[in-house]
Amino acid sequence: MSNPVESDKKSTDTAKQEVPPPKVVSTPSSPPPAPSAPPAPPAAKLPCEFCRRILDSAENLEKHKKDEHKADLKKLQALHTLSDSIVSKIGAGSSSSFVKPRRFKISVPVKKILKTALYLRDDIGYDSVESVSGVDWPNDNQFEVVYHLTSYSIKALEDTVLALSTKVPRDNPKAPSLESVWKSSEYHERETHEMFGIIFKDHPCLDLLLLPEDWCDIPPLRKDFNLPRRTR
Amino acid sequence: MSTMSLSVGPQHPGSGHFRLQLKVKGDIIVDVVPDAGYVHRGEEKMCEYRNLVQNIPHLERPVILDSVGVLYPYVLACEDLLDIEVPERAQYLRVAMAEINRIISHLYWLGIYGIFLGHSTMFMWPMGDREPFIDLAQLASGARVTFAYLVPGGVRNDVPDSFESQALKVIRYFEGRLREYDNIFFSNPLFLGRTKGVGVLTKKDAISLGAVGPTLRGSGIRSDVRKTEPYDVYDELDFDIPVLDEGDSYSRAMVAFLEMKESLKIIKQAVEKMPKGPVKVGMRGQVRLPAGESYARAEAARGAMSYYIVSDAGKFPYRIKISPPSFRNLPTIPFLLKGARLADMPVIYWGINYWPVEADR
Amino acid sequence: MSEPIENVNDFIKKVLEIAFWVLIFLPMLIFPIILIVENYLPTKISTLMANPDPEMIFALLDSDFFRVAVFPGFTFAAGFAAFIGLWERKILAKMQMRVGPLYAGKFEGILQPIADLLKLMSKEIITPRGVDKPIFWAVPLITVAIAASLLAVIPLSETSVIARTDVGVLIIFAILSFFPIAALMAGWASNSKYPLIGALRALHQMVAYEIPMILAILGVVILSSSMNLLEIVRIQENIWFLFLLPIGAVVFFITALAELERVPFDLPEAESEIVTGWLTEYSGMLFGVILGIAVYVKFYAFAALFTVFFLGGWHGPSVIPAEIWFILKTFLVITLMIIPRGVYPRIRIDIMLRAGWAKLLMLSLLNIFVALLILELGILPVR
Repeated sequence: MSNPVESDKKSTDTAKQEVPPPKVVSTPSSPPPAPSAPPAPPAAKLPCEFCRRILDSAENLEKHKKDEHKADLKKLQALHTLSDSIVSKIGAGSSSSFVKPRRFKISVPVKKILKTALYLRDDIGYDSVESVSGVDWPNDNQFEVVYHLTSYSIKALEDTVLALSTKVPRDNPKAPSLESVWKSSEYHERETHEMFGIIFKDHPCLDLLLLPEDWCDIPPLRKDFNLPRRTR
Repeated sequence: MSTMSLSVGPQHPGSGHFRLQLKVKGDIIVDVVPDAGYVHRGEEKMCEYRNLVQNIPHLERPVILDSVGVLYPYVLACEDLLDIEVPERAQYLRVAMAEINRIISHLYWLGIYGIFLGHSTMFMWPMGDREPFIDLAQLASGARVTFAYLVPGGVRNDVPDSFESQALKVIRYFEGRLREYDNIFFSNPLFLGRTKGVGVLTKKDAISLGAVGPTLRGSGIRSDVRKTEPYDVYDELDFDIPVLDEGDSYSRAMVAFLEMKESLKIIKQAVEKMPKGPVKVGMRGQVRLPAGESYARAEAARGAMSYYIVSDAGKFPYRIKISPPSFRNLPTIPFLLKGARLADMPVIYWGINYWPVEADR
Repeated sequence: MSEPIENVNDFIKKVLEIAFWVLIFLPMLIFPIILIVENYLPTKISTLMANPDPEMIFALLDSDFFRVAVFPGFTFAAGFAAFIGLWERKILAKMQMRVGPLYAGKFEGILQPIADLLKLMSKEIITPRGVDKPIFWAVPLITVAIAASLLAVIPLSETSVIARTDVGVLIIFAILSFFPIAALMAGWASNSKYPLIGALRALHQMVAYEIPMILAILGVVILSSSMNLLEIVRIQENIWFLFLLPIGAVVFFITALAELERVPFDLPEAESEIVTGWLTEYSGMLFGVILGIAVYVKFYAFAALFTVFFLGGWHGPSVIPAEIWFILKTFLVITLMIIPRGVYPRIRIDIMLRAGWAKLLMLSLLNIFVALLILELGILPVR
C-alpha cells in the first residue's frame, strides 16, 4: 500500500471481481473519514473501502494497463474528495457510495433534494440531467428517484456521472420537481410521473406523455403491475 | 390576426409516429405541443420479465436503424455488473459494427432530410448507398436490419475472412459518394438558403434543454462519449469529433455529414488493427446479473444513449431504465419550433434527428 | 338535404342560386355540343364508314373540330402530357441511379401512364363531408379547361393552329390569371386546413410570378411588334429571340417553373409540410384529372410557349416537317424543366417571394430595355 500507483497493474474491471457490488439501497453510512487533502502524492490514502479494495487488488495488473489505471485512481481520489465535500455540505441523512471509479451516487432525504440540486448546479457545475429513473422497492415501501447528472461545461466532470438519489414513501409519493434547476429533467420527470405515479411538485406539466391519454390503471412500471398475469 | 391550430401527425407525411399540435399565426408558429407515445411499447417493463440475453432482441426493436448503437450501452452496463473483460478482437468488431451502423442510420436520416426538403435525389441516393453497409453488416451478423450482434461478453460470432477486404472496398466506394453528396446537396445554394440561420439553438439552451448528439455538437459543444469517456477501443483509434458553432439547422446537418467521414476512418482503422483471437467470453450459462447497479453510456447514432440497470441478483433484471437520445432531444423541438415559419417545420423537426419509436421505447 | 322554404326571400335566393349554376354550367356543356352538332360529326363518321371517301377525310382533318379535339388540340396534348409523365420519371430515375418504370409494356415501361390511369380510375372517389360539393367537383374540370384553353393559341406550324388571332399574347395573359382562382376554389371548397394553406401559397406564388412572366413576354412583343403568336414565330426565322433576349428567356423559364408549381417552386404541394397542398382532399380520378391531365397539359403548354417566344417555333432545316421541329424543341424545353426536380430542394416562401418581386421583376424590366435597345439599333427589321 506504500506505493499504490507504482505497483498498480489492475484494471478497474478486474478490481471489482473481489468487491461485493455496492449496495443499491443506500443507507446513511457512517460519516466518511475526512478527505485526505491533496491527491497529488500517489501514496495518499484512499478513504473508503471500495477504493481500498481497488488498490489492494492491484498486483495482477498487466503492464500496459498501468497508465489507464493511474488515471482512474487519480480520478477516483478527486471524486472522493468531491463526494465527501458534497455529503458534508448537505449534512445529516445523506450518504455517498461508488459503483465504479467514475460513477458515484449521493443519496439525500427528499426534503433536501432541491437544496442539493442547487448546490450541485451552482457550486459543483453539474448542468445536465441524463436520465431520471424511478425504482420501485415495495419491500421497503419506497420509491427511489435517481437523477443521473453530467456536466458539459466543466471538463473535469465530463466523464463522470453523478447519481443523485432520493426516496419517497410509496403511499404518498411526492417529491419536489427539479425542473427549475435543470430544465432537461422536465420530460424525464414527466415520464417517471406516469410510469410510477410519483408527483413532482411545481412541475409545469404532468400530463400523460407516453401512455394513452385514457390510461386509468395503476402506473405500469410499479412492481405490483404484474405483466404475465395481465397478458395471460 | 387569429391563430389556426394545425395537427401535424400522426398521419402526416412529415411527422412519423408522432404528433405536433401547432398553433399558426399567418406563417409563424406561435405554440407547439409535442405529443409522443404513439409507439410506446413498454420496453422497460418487458426487460423486467426477460433475462440478460433474452432482452437483446427486443431492446433493439425500437431503433432498428441503429441496432448496434442501442445495444452498446446495454452490454457495457451488463459487463460492468458481471465483471467481464471483453476480448480485444470483440472490442474492435463492436466498434466497427457500431460505426457501420452509425453510417446506416445517418444515411437514412439524410434520405428523409432530403425528401423533407423536397430533394428527391437526396432521398434516393442515401437509401441506395445504405445497401453496401447493410451487406457488410449482414456479412458479420447474418441479419440485415436488427443485427443482435452485441452480447454481454463480446459479439455473437466472428466475421468471415472476407470482411476486411469487403469493408475496405465499401469505404473506398463511399468516400467518393460523400463528395457527390456534398456537391448536390450540402453545397446546394437552396439548401444553404433553407437551413442557414434556421432554428438556432445557442450553446446555453442546448445544455439546459439536455440536447445530445449532432444537435449538441452543432451548437458548439465538444461532447461525445466516444471521446469523453472512451469505451472499448475508441481511445486507441484516431478520429475527430466534428463540432460547428452556429447552432442552426445547417450546422446540425453538417455535423452529421462530417460524422460519416469520421466513421469511415474508424471502420478502416478498426478492421486493419483487429487482432486475431476469441470474440466472446464464455458465460457458462450465467444469465443472472449480480446484485448491484450500473450506469453505462455510449454514443449511438443520434447521440449519447445510456442504460441504468438495477439488479437484485434475481432471474431477471430488477429495473432497466433506457435513456435514448431522441427522448433527450425532444424538448428542443417545441423550443425551436416556436417562432419559426411553418415551412421550416420539417427542416427543424428532422434536423434534430428525432426518431419517435426510439423516444417512446 | 334541402330544408323547406319558408319565405319569399329564401325562395328568391334559391331561384337565383339555381339560375347561377345553370348559367355557369350551360356554356360548359352547350358549347361542345354545338360544336359537335355543327360539324354533323355522327353523320359524317357513319358516312365515312360506309363509303370511305379520301376527300371527306381530308375535309375532316382540316375541320376546326379536328384541330380542337385532336391535333394540335386536346387529344394530342393529353397524350403528350401522359408521355411527359413517363419521361419525367425515367429522367429522374436515371439521375438518381435507378431504373424507373420498367415492367408495364415491353420496352422501358412505356405503358406506365396507362397503368397509372387504370389504377386511378379503379379507385374510389371520396368526397369528404363538409366540402362545398359543386365547387369541389367543378375544380378538376375547370383546371383542365384552363390548361387546355392555352392550347388554342399555340401554333405548331403555319397550318396547325387552332385560333389565328391577333391578340394571342393577351389571351395568354388572361388565361394565366385564372390558375390561382382554380387553386383557391379547390382550397376553399375542400373545407380543410392543409388545402387552404396550399391554395393561399399557390395564390401568392402565381400572382408574384405572373408579373415578371408578363413583362418577359413584353420584350418579345416589343421586338416583333405583334401580339400574334404566328407573327412572333415568323419574325424569328433568321435569329431566335433566345439570343436577342437571353435575360427574358431566363426570367420566363424560372417563372414558368413557378407557375407550374414544379421543384424548386412546389410549395403549394409541399408534401412534408402541408400534405399535398390544395389537392389534399382529392382522390381517385378527380385527383387523376387534376394531376395527370391538367398539370401536365399545362406543363406542355408552357414548354410550347417557351418554344414559340424564344426558340423560334417551328423554324428549322426543312428536312423534317415543321410540326416535328416544334415538338422536338418543346421536348427539349420539357427535359430542361424536369432536371431541376432532381437537383434542387424546395425553396421557402419568403425567399421565393423576395426573389420574385425584387430580382425577377428587375430582370424583366431590364429585358424590356434590352428589347428597346435592339429596336433602336435596328438589328431586326421593323414591320
